[in-house]
Amino acid sequence: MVGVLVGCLPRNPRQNVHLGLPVQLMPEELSVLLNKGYAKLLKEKPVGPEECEQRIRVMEQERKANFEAQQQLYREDRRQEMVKQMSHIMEGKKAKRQRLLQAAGKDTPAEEATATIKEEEVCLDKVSITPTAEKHMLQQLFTENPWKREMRNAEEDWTYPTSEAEKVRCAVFQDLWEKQYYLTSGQKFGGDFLAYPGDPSRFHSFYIVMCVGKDQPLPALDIISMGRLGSNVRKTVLLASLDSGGHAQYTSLQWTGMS
Amino acid sequence: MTECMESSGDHPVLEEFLLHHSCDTAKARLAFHVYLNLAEVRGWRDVKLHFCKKLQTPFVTGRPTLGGDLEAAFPMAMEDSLTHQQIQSLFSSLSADDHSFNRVMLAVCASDTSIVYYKVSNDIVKPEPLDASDARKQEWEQRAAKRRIQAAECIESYCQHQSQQHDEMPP
Repeated sequence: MVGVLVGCLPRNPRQNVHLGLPVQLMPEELSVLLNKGYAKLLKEKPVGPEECEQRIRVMEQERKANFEAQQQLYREDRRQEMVKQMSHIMEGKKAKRQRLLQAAGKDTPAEEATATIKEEEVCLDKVSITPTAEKHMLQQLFTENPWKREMRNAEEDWTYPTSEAEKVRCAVFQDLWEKQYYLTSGQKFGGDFLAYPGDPSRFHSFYIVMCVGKDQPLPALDIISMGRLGSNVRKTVLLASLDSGGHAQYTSLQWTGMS
Repeated sequence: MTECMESSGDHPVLEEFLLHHSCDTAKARLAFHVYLNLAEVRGWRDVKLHFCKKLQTPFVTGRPTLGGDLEAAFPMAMEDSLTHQQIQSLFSSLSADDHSFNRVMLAVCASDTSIVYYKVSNDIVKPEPLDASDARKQEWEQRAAKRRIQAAECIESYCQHQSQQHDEMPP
């Protein structure tokens, strides 16, 4: 199953060339997975108003605790910084003291000045560090739903395929999938699917699959434009329909090379 | 197209075909047009006109290359349409001399007498890889160059021959 990645890549968020989880599946992919029993379809049970209220309360508590913890860490950080810069701070205080003394007219020798300062050695614990405002705190963005959820089986809700066209697409998809082809959406080439002989990230697709009803009249011009498309992009156009027994039948369309 | 072909005498092949098979005239003429195109323009060998009783339509067989495989061409007017089921039935219905076809050329004919051919095959056919089509293109170009040289040589020798004759003519 290939699917399409549609989520934000947490390590590289501000672009949409490379996307991350979650994966979005085509309806045909889901049908095959359910038919073969490889997957379960779940739906979340709806959340009532009381539970919503409780969730809000829990979030507020979490945020407050988070803020307190951040402030603590911030204070520690500032103290560490001061220890590192201690010599600079002392120099600065010494210079300031000397300027003040000179300005006052007193001409005291340098040693005296240093002595006075030593008495008033900066006591780290007494230094007041102004706390930061709450609006500057770091807020965690969850990359997964953080709440405990209750799920129920939703397979009955899956009504695909219903129309004739959908049934053909689904059956053709399953048949080609069982034949070991990798299949993705074919909208880039105007077809229903693109079929690859191997992993799509390593191969170019070989076939553009077009699903038609077995008794659906195809005008000659349509056949020609399909053939033209295929030859221009180096892919074979595969016309697919279901025979009267419900089995997929294929016809390859190729340009003859006669101009 | 039909006007120019409704001359006083049809091509013997077409006449014989219409004689032997109770076929709709328009379809027969369409098929004959494909027959002429394949035989005279494309240079196919052993080109023959057939009538498929099952589908009540004419079709053409031939060999694109001397000694090559037999191919079938199914004529179709540009205004026509085919269902996938009908295309599938071509593989089971068309046969010539006990030779059935797993691959048929769909010959779509326009009212201006141009024909477009597309291969329809009864199975999943891999597209041609890049190197194979490059090789084919190169070969085609080489052949075309050869033909041009040959044509130029022929013209040259003819002109020389003509001037010689002119010189030798009595006054």
